[in-house]
Amino acid sequence: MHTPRNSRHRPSGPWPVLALYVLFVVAPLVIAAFGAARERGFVTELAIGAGLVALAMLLLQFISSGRHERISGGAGIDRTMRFHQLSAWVLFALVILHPLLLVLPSSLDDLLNAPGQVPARLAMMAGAPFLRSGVLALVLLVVLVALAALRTRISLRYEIWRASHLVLALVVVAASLHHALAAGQYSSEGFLKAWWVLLGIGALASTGYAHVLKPVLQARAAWRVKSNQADGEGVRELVLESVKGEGLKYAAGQFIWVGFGRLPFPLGDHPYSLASSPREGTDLRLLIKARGDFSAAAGAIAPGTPVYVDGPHGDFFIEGRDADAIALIAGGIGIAPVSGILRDLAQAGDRRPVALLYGVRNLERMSGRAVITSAARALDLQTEFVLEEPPPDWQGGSGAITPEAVLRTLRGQDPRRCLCLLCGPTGMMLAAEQTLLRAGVPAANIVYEQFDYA
Amino acid sequence: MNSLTMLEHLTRNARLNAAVLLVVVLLLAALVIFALR
Repeated sequence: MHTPRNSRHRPSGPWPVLALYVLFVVAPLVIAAFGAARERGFVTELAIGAGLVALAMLLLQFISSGRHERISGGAGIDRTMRFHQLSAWVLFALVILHPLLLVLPSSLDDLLNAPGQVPARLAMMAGAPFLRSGVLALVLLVVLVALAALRTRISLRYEIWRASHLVLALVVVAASLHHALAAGQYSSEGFLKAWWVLLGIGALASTGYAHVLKPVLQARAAWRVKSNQADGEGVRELVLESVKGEGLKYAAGQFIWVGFGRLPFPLGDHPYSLASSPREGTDLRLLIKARGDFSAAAGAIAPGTPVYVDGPHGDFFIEGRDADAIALIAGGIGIAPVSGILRDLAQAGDRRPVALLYGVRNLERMSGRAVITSAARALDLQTEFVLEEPPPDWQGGSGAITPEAVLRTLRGQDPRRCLCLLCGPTGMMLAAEQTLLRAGVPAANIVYEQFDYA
Repeated sequence: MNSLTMLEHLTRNARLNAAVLLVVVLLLAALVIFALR
């Protein structure tokens, strides 16, 4: 039995990490409050506080983006990434508030009598030599956030975006630290200064680990492409073999970050679900859809190409979850981890009722057909296929996945004892999740995997 | 960031959103206490 490294069922869960996060972010306020006397008004202090909190959050962004299993283990790497995105918006709002609150007139009367004061003060701040690093940090942060939010809309290549994200983030943090230490009144004093230096070193260490040390370690345990063939229209099945035959300890359904060909540099890597079972041997199987910058070129990857693997990640697996029946719901390329789980259940000779609901554009695009067929022989498996564009003689479902089809995956079993694994487009998963919740499946028994959070 | 909209983020994972909201509330409370002290 392969025990995943990052099971969500750790006793601690994400709460200790979250508490630590709040502690680290609030710490500068506490240090500032005790370190120096308060001399300014409420709004000015609020502005300064917003700046202090934003800087702490900014530095912690380097930790949450570093894919550290040990830190994010309880929550899962996907949730950690989403936390990174959501907290980015919060810190961005605080950064914008920081100068705005500082230029706000002290009373409503001032604001009404001299409305021109605000832009004039802003212009003065923007031009002040001692605030230059702060202004630079603000401007570059706007660029960074805009690029991150609009990346797909302006079709920025993933690799280029990620490199720019890292470089911009490093410059923003350096400029922000300079601004805090040079222009900040609280931050230029002993304890808070030490706190910033400490957090700065932590952020740098996290980045160094993720972008330098980890790739070097991965290069040692190298993989190579064993085969690359089509599995359905526009989908490539890549089999990776370990050069040293060491394999990877993972649970069926988890995903890995993969870098192909070039020197190990995680800027070039992408997350892919494992479509294999660890019970079948050390080879790893990936299903890659011809979509996006890299995926489109997947067909050209020749056998023998070196591969760098970072993982396993994610909590999309059955191990450690108690259930009497298993419902697998896949949409499109979401079949990848689901086929890995099917292989695994078949290999393990699982006797529980299993249902597979698989929605895909058309028959040609269907992947993993051989896996499903052989799993059906080994398992008590009920399958249902839904095609958006069915052929004229199609007997199965057509159009979108319906709530009725989702309910059929429970196979008449007690919903409280069913484990449901969902992988596919967000809309599909959201709808299926609602149906399952309404049917009485506990939220903890609904597990989903989403690709789109790189 | 990715192609998911903010709305999707907010509806997708209730527990994560609750956690982030809790963090935001705690931070705002700390900020106000800091400024009022």
